[in-house]
Amino acid sequence: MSGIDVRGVSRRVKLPDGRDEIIFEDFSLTVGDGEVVGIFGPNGCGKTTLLNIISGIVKPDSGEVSIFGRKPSDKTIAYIFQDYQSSLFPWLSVRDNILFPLSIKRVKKSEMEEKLRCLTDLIKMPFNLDKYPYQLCGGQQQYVSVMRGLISDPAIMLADEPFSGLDYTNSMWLMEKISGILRKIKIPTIIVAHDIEYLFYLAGRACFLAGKPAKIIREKHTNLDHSKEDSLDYLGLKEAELELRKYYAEKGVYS
Amino acid sequence: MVLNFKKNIAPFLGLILLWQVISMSGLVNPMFLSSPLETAKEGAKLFSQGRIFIDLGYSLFRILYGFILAFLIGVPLGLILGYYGRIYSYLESLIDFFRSIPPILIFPLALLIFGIGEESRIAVIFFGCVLILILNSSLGVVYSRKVRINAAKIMGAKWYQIISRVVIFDALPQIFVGIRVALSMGIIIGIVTEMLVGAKYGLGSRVVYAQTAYNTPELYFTIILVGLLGFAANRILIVFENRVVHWKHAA
Repeated sequence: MSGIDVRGVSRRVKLPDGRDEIIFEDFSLTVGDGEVVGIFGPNGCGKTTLLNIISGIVKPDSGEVSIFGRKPSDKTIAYIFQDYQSSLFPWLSVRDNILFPLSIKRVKKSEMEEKLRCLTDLIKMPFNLDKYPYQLCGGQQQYVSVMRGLISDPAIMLADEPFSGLDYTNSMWLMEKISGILRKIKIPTIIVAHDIEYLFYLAGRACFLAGKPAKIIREKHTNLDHSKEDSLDYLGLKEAELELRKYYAEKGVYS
Repeated sequence: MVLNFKKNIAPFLGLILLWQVISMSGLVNPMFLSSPLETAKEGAKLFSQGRIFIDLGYSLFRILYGFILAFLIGVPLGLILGYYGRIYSYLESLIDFFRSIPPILIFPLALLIFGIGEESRIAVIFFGCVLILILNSSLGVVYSRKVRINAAKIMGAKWYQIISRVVIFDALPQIFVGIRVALSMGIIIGIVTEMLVGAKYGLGSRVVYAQTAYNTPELYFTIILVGLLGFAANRILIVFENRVVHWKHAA
């Protein structure tokens, strides 16, 4: 059984000028158990909408999404938003932010602490949990939202441009962390990014999305060997990116 | 720090000094301007006789009664209106209309309905405060980050959890704006209603008595006291707000 199964999904939206725009038409995507899929594409091509459809925030007009054969609302989903400042709860400490998904399910306090201990045993927290999110730097804040996603044993993880609000140092730090997490917790994951480097580093398969309605115009398996220091070059990364930019330019979808 | 000497106290001392110089120069008839010293003496007398405490107590009781009632009804109502944006959009012009009515204008109507006792005054204070609180609480929700609501939804939060655990907090800074504006409004309305009819006690009626008795120092003292009351209320709320909304300046 595949982890994430998007089958024949269509979705249109009304633009401010009253026109209808078809974002997806009969769109399908499958993510296997433990597979990490990266999605790359120009702005406005529907990457975030796709994640919203999978997570169940947005209902597709037709088609179906299933997560291990069940409806998205029946499964726990770790969703990492692009804007960590708007998605974390600044009035709660880092600890309470991470425990929030459990506290709304009225999990006992001792049980919550136990879960947090298990998680921090598995994944190191390089900062004080009693701080507030705004006292941490951007990469650490986004790391907190990853932890918040993981605390409730999610079935899948969806990350919407988790690096785009961060500077280079912070993104590199967070990428290392997420890469480590993905190796330990093997759940179906979709990572959306506008920077192709991150995708090749993290994802086992990269899908390139473009057009209206959006289609996967190309797929590339990376089989990244993390032990190799020059693994990014080894993949011919720059070459692939140039090729794609050329493709997008020809189609008039990438500026 | 609540009060900073250079910024908060020195200007007052300067003003008092200027006031003393003007009243000593004899340029202004003491009937219109009592000296700071006389005013302070009159104040001390009012305090020692305990009369001012009765007035202060009555004014505070009316203002706080009306304000707290408005708070208990206005804030939850505003939050719900803001959360269900569609209801808010239907009611927005209605709220705006009622807000445009100077609250004191409904005092005669309140007198007609509730009579000359405390209820009519409290009703007008309530009316003036509740609209400000509704408006600001709903705006707080409308301007809050939708991402947080979505995040909570994905985590499986129920609608009431979204309101009680996310929306309220996101709206808090704006709710505090509403509280500050509403309390200032409550003080103004409370004092004015006391000046109009039938109040035996209250800072507003004290001012009127002082004026009819040509007691200029008492008049000045009471005016200053009302000013200090509003000033203190605002300061206390700011300190309280910075404690509660600790993330405001950082986020």
